[in-house]
Amino acid sequence: MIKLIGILIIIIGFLLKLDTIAVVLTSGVITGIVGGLGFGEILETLGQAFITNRYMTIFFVTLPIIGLLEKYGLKERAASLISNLKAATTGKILSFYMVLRTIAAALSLRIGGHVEFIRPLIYPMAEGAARNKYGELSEEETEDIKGLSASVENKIRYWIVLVIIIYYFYIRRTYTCKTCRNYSTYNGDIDSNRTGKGGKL
Amino acid sequence: MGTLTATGQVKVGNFKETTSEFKEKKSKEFGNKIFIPVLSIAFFAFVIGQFTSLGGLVGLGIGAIVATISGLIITKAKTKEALYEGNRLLQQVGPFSILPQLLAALGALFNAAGVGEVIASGISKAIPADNIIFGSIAYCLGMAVFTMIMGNGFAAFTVITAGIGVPFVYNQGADPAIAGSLALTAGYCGTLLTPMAANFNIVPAAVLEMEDKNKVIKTQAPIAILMLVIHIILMIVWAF
Repeated sequence: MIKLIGILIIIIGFLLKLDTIAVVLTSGVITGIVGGLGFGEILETLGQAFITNRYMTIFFVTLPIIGLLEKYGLKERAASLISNLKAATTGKILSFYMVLRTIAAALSLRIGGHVEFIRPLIYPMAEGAARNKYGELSEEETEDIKGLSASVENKIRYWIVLVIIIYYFYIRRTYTCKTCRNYSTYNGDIDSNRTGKGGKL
Repeated sequence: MGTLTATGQVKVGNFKETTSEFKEKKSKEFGNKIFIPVLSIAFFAFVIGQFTSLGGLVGLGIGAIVATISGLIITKAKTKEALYEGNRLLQQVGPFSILPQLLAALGALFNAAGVGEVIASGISKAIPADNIIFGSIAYCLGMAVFTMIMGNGFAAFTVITAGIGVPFVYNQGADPAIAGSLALTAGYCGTLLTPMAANFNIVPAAVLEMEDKNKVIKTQAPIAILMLVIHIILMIVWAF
């Protein structure tokens, strides 16, 4: 049980809003010590994982250009583009982006990103659409739109996985029906499955 | 680095924000050309990731270089301005920008210290051995909870599958392909609920300059919990 102390440190640190980097490192080192690792081993594990995961910080390379374009009115342009579309709403824009990204991702096209897309394009559009419809927005309302804009980027992972699961079932079902006509739980139309697209296995 | 921030040695610099009149004026002047650099990042990341063996990250890097050059040409800005603005954005995100990497390192330490085994054995003592409904619930919940701690579904998967999945789900006759994929995505429900998955939930809040750093998590929570329940039901119905 003592090994869970690191989790406790993280929770307390986050709740008390202590310095994040220091809390994370403290938790790691203490967990390592109670877990019976030597100090050298702890540093080695920390460093190794830090290096392996350096791709997480690659968005740094896009910051100068995004910042520059923002200075030259990127957000304003995205918002004014949207104001020409009377039918656009925040929900429609975010849903459209989510569907588009899901389809792209299912084809293993990796587009998107909070820094590359959400901040300079999607969020200004979503906010612009809301402004069109309701006039000035309160701080709380812009926060809500920001929250939604950030999470459409995240929730996509679900739909990708869900599509994979459903696709898997589709294959499995047709496959099972081909090999065994009396498959007990299957009660669909065998012929349409066999001749359908999924039948080619 | 940890000592430096803990003792308050790191301070955020002051940056001048450009006036909105200037932005309005420039945005009218450049029109839709201003989107070219942004789209070129995505374009290069995609083309290089898809059609060469270099991978998407190299593509992102090259895309960023192309975008920076084309952006400088279109806006006729000085190189110094791009650096200044990049610096401004990075300082806005602040210490959160390095957090995903640090948390991944923390996860590795948790793993090495055997935190997962403690949690898995704790849960396995609490549930009856031959009940597939409790087994599925424990497996999905265990994945979500441990992903919340680790901030990473993959790291949780091996530990929870060995500790809970194998004895309580697979050994009861579940289809490993279905239960396994459902368990991993049940872990993603945890990803949506935790500040430990900083690159998904905390960095974006900083990037979008949100007041409430937990707003992204709060927005996602209803969907994540609903999806977790759906995962449990699907595992019981589909895997057995």
